Amino acid sequence: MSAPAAPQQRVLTPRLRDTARRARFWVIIAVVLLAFGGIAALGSGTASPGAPFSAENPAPAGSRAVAQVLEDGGVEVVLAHSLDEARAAVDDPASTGILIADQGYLDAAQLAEAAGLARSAVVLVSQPLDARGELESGIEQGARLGRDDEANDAFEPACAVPAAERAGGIRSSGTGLTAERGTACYPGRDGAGLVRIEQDGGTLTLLGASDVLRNDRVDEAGNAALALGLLGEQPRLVWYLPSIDDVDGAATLGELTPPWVVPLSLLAIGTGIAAAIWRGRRFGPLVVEPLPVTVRSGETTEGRARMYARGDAREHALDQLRLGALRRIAKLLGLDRAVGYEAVIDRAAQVTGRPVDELRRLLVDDLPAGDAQLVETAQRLQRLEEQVERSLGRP
Amino acid sequence: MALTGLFVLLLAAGAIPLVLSGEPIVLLAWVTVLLLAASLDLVLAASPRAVRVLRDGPSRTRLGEAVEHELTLVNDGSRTLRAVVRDGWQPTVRALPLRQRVVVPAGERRRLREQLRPFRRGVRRSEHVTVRSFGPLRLAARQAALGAEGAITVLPPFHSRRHLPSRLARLRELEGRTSVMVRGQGTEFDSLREYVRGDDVRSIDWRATARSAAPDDLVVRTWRPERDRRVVVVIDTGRNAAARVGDETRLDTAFESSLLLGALADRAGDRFDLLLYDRRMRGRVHGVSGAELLPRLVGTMADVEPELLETDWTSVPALVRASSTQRALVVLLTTAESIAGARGLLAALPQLTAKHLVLVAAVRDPALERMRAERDDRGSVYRAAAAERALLELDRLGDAVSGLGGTLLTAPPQDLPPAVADHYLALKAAGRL
Repeated sequence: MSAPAAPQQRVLTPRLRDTARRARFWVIIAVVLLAFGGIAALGSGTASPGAPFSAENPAPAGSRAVAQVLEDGGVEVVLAHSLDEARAAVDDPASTGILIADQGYLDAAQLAEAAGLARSAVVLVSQPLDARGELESGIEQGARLGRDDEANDAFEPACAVPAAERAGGIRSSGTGLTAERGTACYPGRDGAGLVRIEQDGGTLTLLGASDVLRNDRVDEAGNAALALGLLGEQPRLVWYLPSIDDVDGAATLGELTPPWVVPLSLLAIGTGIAAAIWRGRRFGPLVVEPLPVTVRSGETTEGRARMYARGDAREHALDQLRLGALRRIAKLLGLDRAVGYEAVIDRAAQVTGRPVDELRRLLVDDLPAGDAQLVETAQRLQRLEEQVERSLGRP
Repeated sequence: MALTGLFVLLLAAGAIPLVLSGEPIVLLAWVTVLLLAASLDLVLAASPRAVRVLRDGPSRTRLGEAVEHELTLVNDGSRTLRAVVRDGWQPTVRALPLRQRVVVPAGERRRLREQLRPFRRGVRRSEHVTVRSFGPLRLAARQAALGAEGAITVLPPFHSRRHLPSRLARLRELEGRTSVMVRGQGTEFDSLREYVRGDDVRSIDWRATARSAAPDDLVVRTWRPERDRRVVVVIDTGRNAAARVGDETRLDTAFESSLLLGALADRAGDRFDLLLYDRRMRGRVHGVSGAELLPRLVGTMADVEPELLETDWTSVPALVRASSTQRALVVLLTTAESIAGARGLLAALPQLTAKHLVLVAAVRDPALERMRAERDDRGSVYRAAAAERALLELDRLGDAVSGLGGTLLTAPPQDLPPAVADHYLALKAAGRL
């Protein structure tokens, strides 16, 4: 077969580069949007850790206000998130203070070591934990510093701790502490808000009224003065916020599982995507076929039957059945359509040998009293037709 | 582009070296090699765009019959094409196999056969042929849809042609091959021949007998029905024709009826016209006879579907006049249910009956008879009453049509075509055409 000028085959699928060209506008839009989003996210500041008492947390529960004021006042604030970092941050214990804002990560020994790292240590006691009881024997925690009905009670220092004396009254709803030794300040209903213990040439301050450091409360009464006074005693402050890294003993999930588990799950996801592409790739364009409407006939008849039934139109329904029966009987008997029903009844009575009166009642007069009677009359009509047919000798 | 099952399998198999070695780097290497291999495969696969598709097959078939269709794939590219091919026929064509595997060396051509077994009337199409070309490693494939239009016209089945032989026999009886027939005003003198036992004695031509050479032999006249009458069939393709009665729509039954009538009228020497109409002319066959007629009829009907329109009967008399200026048998294949529903038809009827012989033929739902006879409980009695009512309305419509000079013929779908044919034969025999 010679085809001198083979007709060029028309291809419906666009080439990859055509698709790319057509999608270029949207790709550019998406890239620009992503870039703007990224810049906006960067500009909005480093994602600050949301931990309470974090020096980077600007949220109400954070303590960025205090940390910044300290830095402005010349105190060098160093952040530490583990005991190792805290240890490394302390160069000269004599001129370093440490703030330990533990949320329950440290055990007693770690807490004691952390408190012993620097000359002056401030331990925030914000929630009841056994570790704190073992830190200094003889210190007990009360439930609340203030009374229940007056949550934001004001407290007076009533002690000889310089920072407290300078600060004057504070407002707090922290924890009350009871100590056998040391100096207790800010006495409340259930212990004191601050306990200072002198030891080994340094000081250990337990701050039950820990919320004086919170961003949202630092501006009340003497809270700011107390916080700055306590933390600004030394030129360098290690802001130690214990984290999950301080918990040892229990192995992490990553250490327990074999090294191939994560790659394997990645592989499973990748295989799933590949399988979706394999099965989901359509074999050519969709084929459309306009299909004609098809309507089921007989809907109107069914609808009319339901209408009769709902309206209990017994007489009307029976009229239809009787008219039909009369018409067919007349036809069987060879009577003209125009003949009246009396003639049909007379003739039918002759043929079947049944009394005229009975047929007249069946075909014209009787009114159905109920559904049962309607059904019965309908069946009798049918039997009459059959009887006429039989009497005429037709099958 | 497309991936294969082999690619997915090999990707999943990367788990084995990973677990055995315990080194994530092994998996990375595995996946990299696999991706490189797939890319290579894509590059090495023959371009499906370099393929030309030629079609060969019948352009028409009758509904319910199977035909062979051929696709020829010409590989104009420089690499061997290993591909799976799918022809995009519309679903009701039922083309099998759906997908075919083929290998076409560079510069050669291969033929693919598929069987089409359409199950819906009309023009069915295939707009494209999709070729998925696999690389030598069978990891990835390139795919393109090639615009190769194909079409097949699926003609109405003409199931009722099984009624044709018996009706043609009746017609031959009428045509004076035997003289046992009733003479009517529409018959014309055909010939003289010798009397054989069984002939009607009334048809003995005594004068011819006296003139004949052998006086013992009686000579009879034979008669035949007049020829060159006109039959105009109007099929209503409006919304009512979409209703399904029994297994087929009213329109399909109307097609069957007109095909049988057309075949019969053509053999009887009458001229047959067909109009498909709702508000527009959907198709028309005019001035065709002989062997041409049936193909033209089915070809015209093939792509006509019921429209969701109310049929406009007011212009039908003018259309019939345009088809035939003489007196004709006008057969209106439509829907007849009640006087209220056929008001438009009844209004147009007097104009037609004034000049023509009019037969209104419609499908009667056989379900009505069944519903009427079932009287077991309350629900079925009410249904019987409703069916009775529908039959009574049909009777009344019949009376109304008769009153306007026409005839109403209703029958279940299977019986309507022979009933229309019989009506025509009866008219022919009575010489009323």
